[in-house]
Amino acid sequence: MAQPLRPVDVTRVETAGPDAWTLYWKRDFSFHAGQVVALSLTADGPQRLYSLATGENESEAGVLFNLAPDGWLTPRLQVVCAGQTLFVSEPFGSFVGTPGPAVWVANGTGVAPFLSMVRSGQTADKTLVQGARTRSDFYGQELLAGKLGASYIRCASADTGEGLHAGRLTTFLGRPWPADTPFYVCGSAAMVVEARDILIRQGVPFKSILSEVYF
Amino acid sequence: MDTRPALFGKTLEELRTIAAGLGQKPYVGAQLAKGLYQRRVASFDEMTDLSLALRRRLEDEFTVGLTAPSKVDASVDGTKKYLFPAAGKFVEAAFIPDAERSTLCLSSQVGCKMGCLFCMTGKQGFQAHLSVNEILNQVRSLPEGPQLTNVVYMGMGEPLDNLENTLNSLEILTADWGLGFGVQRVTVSSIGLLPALETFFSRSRVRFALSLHNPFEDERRQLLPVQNVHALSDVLAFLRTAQKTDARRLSIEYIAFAGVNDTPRHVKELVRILHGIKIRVNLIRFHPIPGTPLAGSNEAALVAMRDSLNEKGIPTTIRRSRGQDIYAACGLLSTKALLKPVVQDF
Repeated sequence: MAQPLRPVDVTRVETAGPDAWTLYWKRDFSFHAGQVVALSLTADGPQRLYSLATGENESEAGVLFNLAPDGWLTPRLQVVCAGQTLFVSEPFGSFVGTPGPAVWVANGTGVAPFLSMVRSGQTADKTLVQGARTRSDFYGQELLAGKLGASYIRCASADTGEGLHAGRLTTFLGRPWPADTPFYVCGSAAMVVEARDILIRQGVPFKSILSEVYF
Repeated sequence: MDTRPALFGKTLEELRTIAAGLGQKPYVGAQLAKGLYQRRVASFDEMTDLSLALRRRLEDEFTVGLTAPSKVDASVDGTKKYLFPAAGKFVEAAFIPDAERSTLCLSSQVGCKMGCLFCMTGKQGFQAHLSVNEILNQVRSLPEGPQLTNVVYMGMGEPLDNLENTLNSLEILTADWGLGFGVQRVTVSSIGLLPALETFFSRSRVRFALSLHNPFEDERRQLLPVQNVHALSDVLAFLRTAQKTDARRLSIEYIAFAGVNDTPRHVKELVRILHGIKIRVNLIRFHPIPGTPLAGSNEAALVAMRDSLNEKGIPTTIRRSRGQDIYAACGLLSTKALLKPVVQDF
């Protein structure tokens, strides 16, 4: 069923990268990092799902989005300003973090659930492998680098330089991994499917790979 | 490149609007529908119930919009797999003749966004939604089209992720003014996208098949990432409620994987979660795909599942495998045919 929505007032809009923004509103609900909300411009309008990108204990909730020029919602979200009303659901979903070691894999706005986990303090024994085209496309990189340190790996497919691993994220994944490490993979369907196939080829059991596809 | 819009794939309402735009009476829209869908014309010249002047004008401004398949593979069992050009790529449609029926398994998208572990189509990533024209062209341009008795939306793509085009294609497929298939002859299969499923039930009366594949939610999400956001329990709750006022036939698609979802424990849980829903189960043999970590269940496990479910009052059949010698599992043929996969930056 379509998720019941309620109005929230946007408190601020923050640029997250070229053609990417985070929309914030006052948080008055509890949630688990990694969960999503349904979001719409009107109470009964088309809904799209977004992972919360903010921490479980922060005063604001927020979602990260990038512009899909052919999309219906994001060109409209792009012009939303502080003070405007959006309609969001209660958080739901089961792509949530667990204690213990894990490797997180993300591209694009698929980093949002991991941003939420980091902002919720879930950093111990976690490695994040983030893929993007150029240095400016790594959403949340300052925060992630600060919190994860050497466990934050940025794979740039069309850029080089300090702190960047040159090459595609999926190339980086093509290495031996401990078989008992859980993987959390989030992003575009193409990346998720390719990353999962590579990990399976590297001996990671499919039951250890949890995926969330943005669609 | 021909930029004229296609008329095949337009609903009656759209054809009436087009007719009005050409300065014609509303009934001309119905004449167009009759020509396109019932008389199955291939050119406007064949629409002899229209004036010559109107036919010329239609020719100038529109195309009928039919596209022949570019490739066909025939199986020894009579199944044929067609490759249709669509959205600059290819989609697959499988013609499956049987003793009493002839079924077309058609595609609704090029590629797919859902990323199911066992699916070859998902390995293409998502490429494009098919238009109504491209969905129905698989029915109309199939050489065996006139023999078809049944249509199933079980090919490439997730139909409910291309909701409006799927619904409009269903309208044309089942309307008296359209292709005239009975609603009992058409089945849409989905992994269960909830808001879209609700819309589908409110706007179409065709049959529905849920791709379930594992009754345990924690295990199902290892196979179907969508489980993370559209929980099976919510989908079944919707179907249970919908069935109180909706008599359409519901079924479960269940691909059986050895040791993964074919144990007595899974049968027991299936029985539990399907309680209170009038639904039948189709057990499906897995067509292995390259690089998969999954193996299909053996015959004994399939039979045991079928018998156990039947004993518990859930009508269950094992679907006969067809076209195994021609890559009949959806996505295999077109993925091979993609000349160069799109390389994305990640």
